[in-house]
Amino acid sequence: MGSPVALYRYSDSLCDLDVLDRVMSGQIFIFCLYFLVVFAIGWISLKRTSTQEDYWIAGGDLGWALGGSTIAATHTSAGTFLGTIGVMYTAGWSFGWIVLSLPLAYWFMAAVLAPRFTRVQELTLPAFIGRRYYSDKVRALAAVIILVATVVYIQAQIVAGGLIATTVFGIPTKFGMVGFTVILLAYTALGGMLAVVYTDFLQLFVMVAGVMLTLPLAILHMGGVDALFTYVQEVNPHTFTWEGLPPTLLFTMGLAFMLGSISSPAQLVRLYTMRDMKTIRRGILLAIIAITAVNLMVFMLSLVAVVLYPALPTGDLAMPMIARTVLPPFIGGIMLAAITSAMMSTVDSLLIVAGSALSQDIYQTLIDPELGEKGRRIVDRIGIVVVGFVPVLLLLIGIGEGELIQFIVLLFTALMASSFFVPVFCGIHWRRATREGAAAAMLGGVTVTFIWKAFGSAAIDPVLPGFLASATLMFIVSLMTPPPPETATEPYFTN
Amino acid sequence: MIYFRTLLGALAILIVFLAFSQSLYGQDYLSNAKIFMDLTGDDVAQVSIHYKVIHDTDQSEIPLAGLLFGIGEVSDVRALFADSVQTIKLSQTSGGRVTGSIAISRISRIEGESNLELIYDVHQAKTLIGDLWSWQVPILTVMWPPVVARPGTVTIETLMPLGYSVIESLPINLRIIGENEGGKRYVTEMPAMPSLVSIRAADKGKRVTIMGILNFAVPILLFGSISFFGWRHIREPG
Repeated sequence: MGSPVALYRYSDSLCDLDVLDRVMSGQIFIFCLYFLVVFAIGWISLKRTSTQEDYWIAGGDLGWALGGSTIAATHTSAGTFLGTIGVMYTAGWSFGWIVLSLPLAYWFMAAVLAPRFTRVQELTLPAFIGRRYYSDKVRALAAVIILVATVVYIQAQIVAGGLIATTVFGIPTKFGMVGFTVILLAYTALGGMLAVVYTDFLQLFVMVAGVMLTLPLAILHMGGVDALFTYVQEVNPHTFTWEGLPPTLLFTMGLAFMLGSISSPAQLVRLYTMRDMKTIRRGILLAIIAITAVNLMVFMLSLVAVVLYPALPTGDLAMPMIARTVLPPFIGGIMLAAITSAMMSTVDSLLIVAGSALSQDIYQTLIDPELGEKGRRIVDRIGIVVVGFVPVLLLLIGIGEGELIQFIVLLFTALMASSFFVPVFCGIHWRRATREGAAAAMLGGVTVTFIWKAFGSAAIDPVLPGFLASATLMFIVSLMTPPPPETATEPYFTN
Repeated sequence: MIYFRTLLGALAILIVFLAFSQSLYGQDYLSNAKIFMDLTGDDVAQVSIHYKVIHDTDQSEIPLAGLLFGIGEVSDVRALFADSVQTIKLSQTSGGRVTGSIAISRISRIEGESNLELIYDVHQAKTLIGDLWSWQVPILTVMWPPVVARPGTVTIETLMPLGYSVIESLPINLRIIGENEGGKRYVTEMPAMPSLVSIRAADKGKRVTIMGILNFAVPILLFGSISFFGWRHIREPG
């Protein structure tokens, strides 16, 4: 049998045709259409934003559909569409049990935290900490922790954006990272929380539509679910076992996701955006349903990637590969827009949280409390632009590349859990919690988490030691210091 | 001032942590691959894959793997270097997973970026499903990851028999780039190696498929409903 190369040779004119095809492709058309809609939302939101309440908490009068969508969209980050599928591609399905911790986390948020946490409507999480712990210094400490942790998290999401740009458009990852950041900053800085909430609603819609279309088409190519499971078993026999990740790591990662989801500042501040407790409960139910459904569908898609693309450089590319090569152009474009949406809906929320920490909790509280309304509006927007560009600059000089996206997401989640869960929970359920205890809990939690991540056992997620340190310090230091004044606890403990 | 110092300290911790998280070590990579498939034969599909690889470790074998997807048989597998030819023996599981390796011997030693060509035949690649002809071609993949996964890292060129029109394919976007007496040439490109190339073609002209209808209907419905509800929301006061 002769070599087929003898029959014909590769076309030299391929490259020119290819560029033209790509520029004209449906995926790019869908992408551009999607970004146009997002910009339009930013512009409309700007027109509807007049006060700082509008800008930071969307006026505090959202209904359950918008409120629930924004919680679900913020939770469903690139970590889900690139990271989760990436870890499952690499380590198998055992990682999937973590999804069970999410409904529990959001039930806890609605049933245990929200009723007292929302009694006083604040603009930021550090503002709550400042009021409950009667100290602007503790408030500023919370703001600094948010700023630092947010940089790490936004980096993971921006790397995801860059990967998408490379896979879809063939442009260098760094150009993609800068491009996505500019788009994000444009509509977030313009429209504030209102723009974020509206775009989150749209983005959740696109995400759910994207995975609902992708999954059946991908399974169809495999010849059905049975065939898919058989092929996966052949390609990677460890996929359906518990051998991919150590059980202690799985358990502690589940803990990190649960505590981190509860205590994420981006999610907590969303409780302030909804009009009352009934709305919050309905909104969170919607979020639980959407998050669980999207995750389960993403789990199935990870199996398709295992079979079709056995030698990817990183599992994070699994989803863009499916969208790029399995789906017809327009539907593939929707799926890629969904992945981009996941990244954008999370980063825009973090930009709001970090921007408000810089502007509200540090600058306007400590440096220039007398700033006028017009000046505040300018500082608010500058805060968002600053916190948006720092992660990109760090990435461009080579700091923060290299880890699987999901593991960066996990680090952020661990940092949030170990610094804010204890101060928030004790702040509304333990009268005796003091400002010194809260400061020690936040600092201790963050420090132990970082140290464990750098030097501790890789088989245990840093959230466990970080959370234990935070809780221990809160109890010991609070009991050793004078009790808080009545004015600090009264709003949260008096019926 | 204390806050500024706290911020600086925290940033320093972050930078140290991120610096520790970098990992740099030697590895073997796939630089790019060009897959040629001749589907003009009645029963046998001939496959040739030009691999450009970067060999940066002391590994003495290049691992190969593939999945037969329940159809066909792979035979006559050979690897061509500049100055040698190797016959590759594949082992196969009952579920259709095939594995093998290309030995990097003294004769065929490769260092840095090198070219090799993998040639094999796929039997029973062509079947009739309903009124469509289906080709399922398993790809024997060098199990080294690509250096960069971007469009064009892997290109697939297919020679189809005359008189057939491609209706569906995996990967999608097979584009016709030429036609002569030997057949029709289709091409597509992708960021990483696939394990399967699947083509469905009709020998009685083009036709509309459900996938084709969905491809246009779904975006119109999606953006239409977004525009409708968005417009209604904008028109509401406040």
